[in-house]
Amino acid sequence: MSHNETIAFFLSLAIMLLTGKLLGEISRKLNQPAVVGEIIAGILLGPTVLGNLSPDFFTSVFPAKGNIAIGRDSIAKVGVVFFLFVAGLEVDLTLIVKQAKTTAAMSIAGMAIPFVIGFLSAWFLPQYLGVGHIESENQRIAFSLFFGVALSITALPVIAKTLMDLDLFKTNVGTVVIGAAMFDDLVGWMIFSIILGMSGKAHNDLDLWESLTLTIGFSLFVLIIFRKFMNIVLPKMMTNLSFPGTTITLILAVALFAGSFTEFLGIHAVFGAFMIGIAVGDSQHFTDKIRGIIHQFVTAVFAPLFFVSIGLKVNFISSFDPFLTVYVLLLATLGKFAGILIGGTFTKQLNRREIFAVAFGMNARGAMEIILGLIAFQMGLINESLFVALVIMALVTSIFAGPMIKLILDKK
Amino acid sequence: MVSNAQETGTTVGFTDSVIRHIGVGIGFSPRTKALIAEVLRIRREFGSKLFLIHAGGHSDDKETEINEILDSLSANRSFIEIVWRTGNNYSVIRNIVQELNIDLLIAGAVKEETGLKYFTGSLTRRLLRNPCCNMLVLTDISETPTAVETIVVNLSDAKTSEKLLQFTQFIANHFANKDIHLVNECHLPGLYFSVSDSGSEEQSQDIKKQIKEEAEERMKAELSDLQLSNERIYYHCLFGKEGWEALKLTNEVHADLYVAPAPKQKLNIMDRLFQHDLEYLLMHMPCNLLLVKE
Repeated sequence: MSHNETIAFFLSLAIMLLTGKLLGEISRKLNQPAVVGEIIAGILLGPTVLGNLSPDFFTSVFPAKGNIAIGRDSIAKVGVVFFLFVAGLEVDLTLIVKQAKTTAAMSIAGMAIPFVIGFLSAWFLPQYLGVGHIESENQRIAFSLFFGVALSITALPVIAKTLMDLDLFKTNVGTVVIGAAMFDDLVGWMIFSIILGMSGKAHNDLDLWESLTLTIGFSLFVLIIFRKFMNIVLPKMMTNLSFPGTTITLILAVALFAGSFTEFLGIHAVFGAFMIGIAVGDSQHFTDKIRGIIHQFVTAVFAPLFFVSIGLKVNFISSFDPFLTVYVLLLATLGKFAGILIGGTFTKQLNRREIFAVAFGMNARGAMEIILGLIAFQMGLINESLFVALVIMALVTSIFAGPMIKLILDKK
Repeated sequence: MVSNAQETGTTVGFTDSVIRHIGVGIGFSPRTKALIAEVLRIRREFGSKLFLIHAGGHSDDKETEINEILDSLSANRSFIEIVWRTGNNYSVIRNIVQELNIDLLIAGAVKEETGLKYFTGSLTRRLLRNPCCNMLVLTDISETPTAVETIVVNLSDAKTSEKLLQFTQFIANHFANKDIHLVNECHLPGLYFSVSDSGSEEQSQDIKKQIKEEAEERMKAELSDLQLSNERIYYHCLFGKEGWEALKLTNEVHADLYVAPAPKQKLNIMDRLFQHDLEYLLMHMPCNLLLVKE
């Protein structure tokens, strides 16, 4: 990087961080997820707004190619890996296993029904999703699986916040819903990593079975063997090394190692970090103090940089397809509502009003959907219009979740 | 356990209706005499009928040995019946519990069970993972009585609290204890992710405070109906991994007895791989354990 590039690079990071954080804070003040403000910050700084208003300044500070772009993308990549790591920290395997016995209907229906709707619509009507011609059967399967996952995923932070606002967080209802959201995330990311293997760039594309074997093999290794290992090592680290500094450094280094390894396998780095997050977060020795610091570190610095960088890559006006956006939004909402209404009815722990409130909460896709869409877009699995439609769907469902739940429950 | 009762013992309303029959599995090990001594003391307190269950079939030698043990402990034979049965230990005991309407099954257990042994499971732990009645497991078995000084009661499950407290009251009033620690465990998955995404640290602290206050109020309300005397009662709301936090507290207060609700469904290998709250206690049993069936 030349002297001038270095100046522009740091300037771009500072602008991204400040704008992202500022709009993220405004978003939080409005009782919305920070990601909504951070994405809007990216749209303002990117080709959609700043690129149109001041093209020279935009290309000098936020160039699409060259060293600055490479540096910026690298930081964004680290950011998304860490973000998925903290998402993994919140997945509680014990809760999922417990729920599997008692409230499986909510978890399975909430995931399976939107997945099937997404899969079938992508398989039979890909043209409505902006896909003209699919070259191979492998690609068709990967695209259909992706769209199924895209519709079934749930934003855990949004649903947790919703339950807090409803005063349902530490109730049976809250536990059922949180468990179902965690199950959705875990299974969703596993299926997504299989898709990534099938359309990977690191090696020749893996076929379905190779990708399935690698994903399941890696997951089993991390969740059974590595998790136990971490549970033994963690207290020793906390006792013998400076706490919490070195412990946090080592934990994050392990997440990066895992990211590197899964990337090597041909499945994406985020999957490795996510699984390591689950393994580490599951340890009884992983204290709230470490958890809090890691969350703050990642969500205060890396997450804004990552979400702002999305807006820098995509023109949200030229790639905006109103029909596609409405279609995706309808399918996503229809699928999730159908899943939760059916699952909630079978679970028999919620009344009708609460089921609808939970459906709005689970319908929020938040940051996870955006990450999923971006990776699929970068892998060439979806085009820019579908990515924009997915981002808008994620934002709209997240923005409406809180107010709609309040409206439903205020009618009591 | 040391008892406060006279030789024949007296019963209260609770035990009249709940603990009429006590069963104990015996295996003729070096600890058998100590186990029977403990069980006889407990039987006296509950005023129940005692069934000594042996799943290895009858023989004259075994009968002589058990009679010698009972005689040496001056056991009142009118309350005791020996049941001889052949077959798989686990199935035999479960079947007898159901046939004889046993209300409390007592067994001895080692404190630590780790590695492969933990995954395959000893007989006592297998029974604990799928209890068919209330179950008391004794880890520190002794022919000479030892006092139960500290009891930890897990009241996290509101549905079973009443029965757990009835047991606790009985034990507290009959086994000379000093301290009772009432525990409510709160695991809050997703809280930190949500706080860093759209909430605030204050909100998370408020939630924790509210949960703690509600739990303490609930425990106090449930306790108010019971007549506990001469005990110090402590309330704990533990945040963190369920089971593990209770285990830590049990060790910290040097508890002699941990009382918890029995699992609602059979614990299987998945509950050992991804540890169910009770599994932390089964792996490192810190003291005697009483599981109360809902």
